Amino acid sequence: MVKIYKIIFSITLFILLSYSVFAFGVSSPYWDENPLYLKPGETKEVTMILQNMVGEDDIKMTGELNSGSEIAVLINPGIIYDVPLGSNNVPVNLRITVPDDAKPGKEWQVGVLFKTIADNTGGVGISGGVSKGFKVIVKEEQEVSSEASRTGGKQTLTQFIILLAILIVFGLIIKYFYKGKHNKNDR
Amino acid sequence: MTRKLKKGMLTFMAILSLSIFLLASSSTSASIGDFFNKITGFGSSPQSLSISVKANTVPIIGNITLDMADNVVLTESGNKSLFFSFVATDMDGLNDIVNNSAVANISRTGETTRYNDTFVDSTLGGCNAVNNVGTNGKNFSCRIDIVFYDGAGTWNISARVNDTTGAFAQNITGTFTLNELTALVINPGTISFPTVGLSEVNISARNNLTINNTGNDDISGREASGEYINFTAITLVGETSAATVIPTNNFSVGTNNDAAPVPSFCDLSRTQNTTKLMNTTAAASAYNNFSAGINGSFMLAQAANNFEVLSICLLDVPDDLTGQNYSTSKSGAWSIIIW
Repeated sequence: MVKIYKIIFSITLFILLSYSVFAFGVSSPYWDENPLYLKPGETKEVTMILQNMVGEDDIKMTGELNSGSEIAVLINPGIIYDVPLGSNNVPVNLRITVPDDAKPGKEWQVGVLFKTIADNTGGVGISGGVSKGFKVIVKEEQEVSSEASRTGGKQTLTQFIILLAILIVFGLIIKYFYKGKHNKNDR
Repeated sequence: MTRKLKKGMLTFMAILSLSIFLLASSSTSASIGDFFNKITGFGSSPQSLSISVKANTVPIIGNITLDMADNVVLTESGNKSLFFSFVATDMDGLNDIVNNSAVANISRTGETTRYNDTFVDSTLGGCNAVNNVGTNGKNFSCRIDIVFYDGAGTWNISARVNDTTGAFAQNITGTFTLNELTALVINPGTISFPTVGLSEVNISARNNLTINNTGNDDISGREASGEYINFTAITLVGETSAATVIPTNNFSVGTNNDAAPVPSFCDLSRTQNTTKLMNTTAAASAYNNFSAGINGSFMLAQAANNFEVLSICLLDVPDDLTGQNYSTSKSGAWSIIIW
């Protein structure tokens, strides 16, 4: 008897009719295997792209920096991103600035946590998310440009030596003519 | 003018000519020796001389140009068209270039090569001649579809064209970068349980959670030291009276779904595939939460089997509950995050 009159409870049954599929994507130009290289003092804006191509409804997403706040900021922090169904181009901009005194080889992990806002009105609401991150590595001045400047320096020196040689030869010729003219006058 | 002056002028001209010659030769990569060899033919390898009445000129393909922004962004669960173009030149005249011979492909180590090549598949159409360039050139436009699971990184572009004699030109120097896309479809967005009584055990949710990987990012799982599915659960709270709750400890999640004798996702001894949602907050907190990776979960970026099914189990119903609905509406939604 006791069992029969035991309190029965349920975990929301009425939302059974409102099941929906949701989808989202986050694209980034940098990822774990493709780090961002910056020079000391350099600033770069990185754009991540939000998508909602195969769900059933418009979605809203939040984005927050979850690592790398020493060098990175979200350009519109706290904003809720509307990602309509069928969109594949909602931008999220991130600004990264490497300190002037950063040593070459120094690394930071920069990450942004994107989460969908769940329609949490009953039952066990499920939201989705992606933590999108990449490394930022401090690089030295480009090898190519330093090589080019070295080669350029060599070329300038060679040209200077050639010009100097020509001038000396030219000077000797003038001196030769001048001397010849003097000799003629002396005679 | 005296003889001496004439001699001087000659010397001056000779020195000036030599200087100019030296200066000119220093600005090129060839040395004086090379110049001498060119004049005399010394130092060069034996040459054969052939004479033909009319020689065919092999066409040339110039630079491959992307007709869209680089760092190509894929489309989740779909195809993305890559557009690029190139100019083919043939000194025998532009009519010597065969329009429907222009084909292309994109490739990357470890990835499936994508073609728009009528020699591989005649239905693909190949690249299109879109306009003439001068009297000897043609501009070709190409389109190749990239699939959502094609790997992120640098891809090579190869283009090829024939002339009327069958002589072909190929350019394999084009590249583009495919961005990484992490994308999911989660079905459904809400889960529920049947009506249950106090002290009942091992109750399966009415529906499983299916997560599809619709991007090109491999979610290889925690066990493979890769990206993984992080599951966050929050205490269910009574909707009418928040005095009673169902802590997350009472739930488990499994990636296997076999029934006997206990559903595998309720069987905590199957640690490889079942995860108890042990609370990770302070014991004193009423709203216990769980947040960690799910054992045995992975979903690679690929055409098939790119999904994971999570089955959820209510391990046991607390004895102190009152009759009402329990949900996350007062505590917070559970979440599935790729970490």
